[in-house]
Amino acid sequence: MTHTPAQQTFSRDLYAHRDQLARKRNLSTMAVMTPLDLVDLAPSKASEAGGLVRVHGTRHRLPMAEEAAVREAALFHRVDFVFFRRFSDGRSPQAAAYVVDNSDERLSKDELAELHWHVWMHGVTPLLYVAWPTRLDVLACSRTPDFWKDTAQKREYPEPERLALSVTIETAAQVSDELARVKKYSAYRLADGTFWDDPENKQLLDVEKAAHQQLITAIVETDLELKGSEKPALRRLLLLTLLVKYLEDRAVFPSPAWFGRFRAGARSFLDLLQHGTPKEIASFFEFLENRFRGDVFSLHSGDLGALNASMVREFAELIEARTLKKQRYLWQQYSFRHLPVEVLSHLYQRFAQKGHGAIFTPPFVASLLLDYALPYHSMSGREKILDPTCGSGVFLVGAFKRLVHYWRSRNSWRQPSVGTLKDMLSKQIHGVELQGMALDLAGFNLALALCDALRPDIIWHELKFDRLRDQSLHEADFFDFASQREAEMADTPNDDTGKFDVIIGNPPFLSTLTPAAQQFDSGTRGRLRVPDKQIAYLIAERSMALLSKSGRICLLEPSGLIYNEKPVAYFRQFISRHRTYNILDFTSVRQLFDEADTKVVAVIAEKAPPAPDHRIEHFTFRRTVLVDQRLGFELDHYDRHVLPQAYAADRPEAWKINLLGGGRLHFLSERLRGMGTLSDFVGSKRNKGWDYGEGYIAANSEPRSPASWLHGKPLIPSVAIGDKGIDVGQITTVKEKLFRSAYTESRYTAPLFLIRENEKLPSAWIDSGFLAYKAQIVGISAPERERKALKQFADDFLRYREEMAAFCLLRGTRGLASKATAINKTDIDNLPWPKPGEAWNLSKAEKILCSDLLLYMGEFVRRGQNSALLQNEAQPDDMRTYSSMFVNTLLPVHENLRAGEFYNLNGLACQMFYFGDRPQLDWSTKWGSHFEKLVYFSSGFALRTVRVLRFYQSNVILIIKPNRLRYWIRSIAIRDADESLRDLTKQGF
Amino acid sequence: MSHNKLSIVQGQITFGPQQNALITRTIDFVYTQLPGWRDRTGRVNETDEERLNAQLTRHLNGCALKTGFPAIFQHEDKQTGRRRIDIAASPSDFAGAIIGSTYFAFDDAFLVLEGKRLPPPGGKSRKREYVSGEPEITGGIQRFKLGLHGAKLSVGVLVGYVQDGAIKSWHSKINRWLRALARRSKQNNGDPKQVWIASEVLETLTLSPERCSRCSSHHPRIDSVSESIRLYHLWTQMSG
Repeated sequence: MTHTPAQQTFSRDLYAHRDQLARKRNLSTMAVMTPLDLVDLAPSKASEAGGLVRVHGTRHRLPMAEEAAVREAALFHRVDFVFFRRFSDGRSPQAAAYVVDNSDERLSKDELAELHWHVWMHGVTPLLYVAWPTRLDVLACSRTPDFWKDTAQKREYPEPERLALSVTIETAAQVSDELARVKKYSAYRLADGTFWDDPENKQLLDVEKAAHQQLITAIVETDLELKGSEKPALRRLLLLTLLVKYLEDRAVFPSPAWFGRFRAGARSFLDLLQHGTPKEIASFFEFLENRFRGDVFSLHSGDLGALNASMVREFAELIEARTLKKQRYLWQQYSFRHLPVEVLSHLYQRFAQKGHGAIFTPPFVASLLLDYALPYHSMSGREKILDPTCGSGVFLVGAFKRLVHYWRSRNSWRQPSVGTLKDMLSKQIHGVELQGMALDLAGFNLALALCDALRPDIIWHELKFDRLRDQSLHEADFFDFASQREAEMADTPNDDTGKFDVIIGNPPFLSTLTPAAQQFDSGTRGRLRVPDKQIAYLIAERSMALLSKSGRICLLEPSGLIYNEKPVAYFRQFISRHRTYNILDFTSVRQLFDEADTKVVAVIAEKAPPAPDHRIEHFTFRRTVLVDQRLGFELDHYDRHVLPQAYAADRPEAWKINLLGGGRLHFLSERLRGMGTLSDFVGSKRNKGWDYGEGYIAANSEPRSPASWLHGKPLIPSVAIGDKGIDVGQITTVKEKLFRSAYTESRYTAPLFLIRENEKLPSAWIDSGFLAYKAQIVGISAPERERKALKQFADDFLRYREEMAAFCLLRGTRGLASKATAINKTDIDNLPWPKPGEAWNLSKAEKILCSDLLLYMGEFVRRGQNSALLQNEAQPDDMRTYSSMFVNTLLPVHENLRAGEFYNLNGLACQMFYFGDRPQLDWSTKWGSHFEKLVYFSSGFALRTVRVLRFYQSNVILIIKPNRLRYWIRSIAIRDADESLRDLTKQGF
Repeated sequence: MSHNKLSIVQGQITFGPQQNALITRTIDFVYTQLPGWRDRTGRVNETDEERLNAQLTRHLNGCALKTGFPAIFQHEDKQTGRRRIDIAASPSDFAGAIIGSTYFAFDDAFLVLEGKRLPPPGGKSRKREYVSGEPEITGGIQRFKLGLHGAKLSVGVLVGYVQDGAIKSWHSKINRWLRALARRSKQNNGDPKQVWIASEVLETLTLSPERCSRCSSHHPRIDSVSESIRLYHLWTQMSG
């Protein structure tokens, strides 16, 4: 067989790499296989550049976020490697797995069970890989703990059937099914995210049963039993108890005997609670308050008075007896040595007063927003951060941690001194909050974050908290705060002192303005009033005055800001005045917040106006397994949309079009909009006797009037009109006698065409007789002489129903995220319909876009990981349809383009195309290894982070993407072809 | 964020497709559609260049959509006050062509087409406008040569609406003007922007039975991104 030069290069590189590995170790190729090799995690293969980072010993210089994460892993002592999932779009890397190389069996099963417990508690990574001499185990760390067997208190290393994976090299080598199962755990799949794309792996995650949520639930239940909302003293005692446990677990207190100072014989705080008097407990906190200051440990005098002996005893019993599912004692089973401090911040959020529109931000959402607002790669370390409605301070804690990481990265990863940390807190981290209770919690959280950055002995000997309240934490209405700041800066408008570099937060979504907000809204000239009195919108606008020259806001806002009709003009004014960089759109993510399924977007903008050619990036985050499980966000090439600023300002529907896929859909939407409308067309027939409108509305109260010609007549309910016509069995009779609107008899008389107000536009032709219908159906009737014309209209409606339904989805009034499928009369009025003398003239590609919109995209927005697009892998038929669409799109320019084979590997699929002669590669046998080499060695790093690759070589195009159906439908083929056409043009073709 | 890569393009095709395939095919596409446009039933017989350009653009877009040709043609209306080029061809995914040039810059255009009436309207001063204009730089070939049109591109198109006279005689006449310019610039050694050379003449003319023609010419450039530009002259006999 002859080889093309390209083929020879491919093969040579592939085998050279493997042989080189073997030579290095002075072994035969086969002998290099280890359990970690099975999952592509062998240190030689998955180098630091590939994401596997050694925890101990020497390593290359790492990016700041990774170095911090590796140092965190080092605290577990027994973890050898962190495997990172990295991103190329600026998001922080995720620890996809911890890896323990126990091939020398230095660790016993008990020690590993202990490690499993610690990693589970920390919640930093969902998977723990343990390599034995000839076996590999994978332990799940983000679901029900596997290390507790039934009711036994002891932690055990899980039995094989309780492990996510347990396999020996021998079985993997001999049983091909087993090897395929193991390959699903390949590091490559963790790195490109396809591991979590696979619905089968969903069972490895259960956020509700994972450590943090269980702890939070247990504490919230305790608070409920204590009636914490009515008894602030007990609630405060509960929160302080957690803080003391944190200090106890971190071994800050000198020794167990030290507790004896407050109560003879006490050796722990729990002892003190169980046996001490309120006075002894109060003196303990008094000691801590005097030692640490800053009001952190103070039990206010009112609190003290409210505590009596029986309450304390009851409290102690409740704390001590608090169990996890009535099996294990919480107090013993959780240790703050391995719990991240954010869990307490998250927990404290629950106790901040609810209502007032405040929705508490999960840490993983806060962390994503910080990636945009305070990205590690462009930090100066001097940033001043403000959260205008800081609640319990989840953003402030996140920002503070970043500042600490930055300082450490510039100081040989030393721990900063108490003074440095306090300086950061008081000068760089600012919060404003209307509710005093929440602000106290913010202070608490920041105190904890400060402790977290210090060694236990330093905490004990050196730490004195500053009182942050009134210094950097302000109990105030943000609008008052802003006005006061503005007044202070009035003399020095160009000076950035006193201004903020990052204003970040999740303001309350309330349709009520505070008096100060009201004053700003009504008293500021030259601007539009805020729509719906939505205070969150107004906070974004008001924040601009406090930004430094290069400062940015990053605020969560209700999705309505970009999707609803009322805020259109206001938002247009906003983006025209302030350079808006990104809209992070979480509209299709369900249950992003614990309390409510609020739909949100994040707006990232700076104060200065945009340049005329400014473009806004719109990221449409999808509902995926990772988001559902609070682990992170998936973001794909097809989720990034770039809108020219002026276009976005003029076309408010542009955001919705992006949510449905963007790209050529803008073009389609504009074309359909350029046609006439259905109501115009039918209206033009009025002089010929056509009638058009909704059915009757019955009335129980005045004003109402009888319509004898309706009562007792056959009635079709709207649900009886379906995709396949009328369900005659559902026809009933009109029972009502009095009507608010009955219209005319002719409206219900055949020839008659009915359209149901439903997104799929079901319709029915009524050839003869009288058929009544209600207001959920729009009817078009005509006199007998117009029968033929009306029938023609009805036939055309059926023929172009898909195009119209697509338009309705793109431009209709219905919210995409809602489950409801009803549309309204306006939507039907606005359906595109050719003007007189014109015809439907959609191209084949446009029809395909319509068809995919209806078949897939609507469902994808609503159901995310449960939609057909993410549930299913692309099948051979799908790949053939995709490749044929790709080729046909390019054929008018490249007539010698042909589709070649496709191949699946580790959750990715690859489709080959070629120009002219078929490449001479022996695809059936070498294709797999060629693909593997291409993906994981030559372009591996790139692909691991971006998931979508177009690769060109010789006369071959390879498109490589995850194998979910989402990536291989016809509308995506058109987009890929468009992009390839651009690539090829750049390459001179 | 400053760096946001969500997809990667790697490598280079070295053989297989035709060089400049998109540009070549688009020129072929436009040329093929010229007679159909000219003879289209119901087409208003305009004489104004601007309106002819707008008509042709609409026709080309309709045909591209119908046949799935992956390009969109945009006519920039004089009224926007931003007129730089007559017709720009962009890839099909470029929404700007239909949605409006107010939002989208022309950076995406891979081919620029300039429409010219033969003869040009107006007095003697505009007589040679297909080639060059004096004192203002209004000439068709001249604007491409100086990079005022398609500065980043190395291929351009001049669409000739032949409203009077025969195609062949216009070919000869234009070449006479070009030769005269070359002779003059040899003599005066003046402004480098006014330098013309003898090889810039229109090459051999191909006539179609449908009263259209095509030929090309090659022009060195000064102060442009590309060193030279090849112009394709696609003409259609509107008269007779």
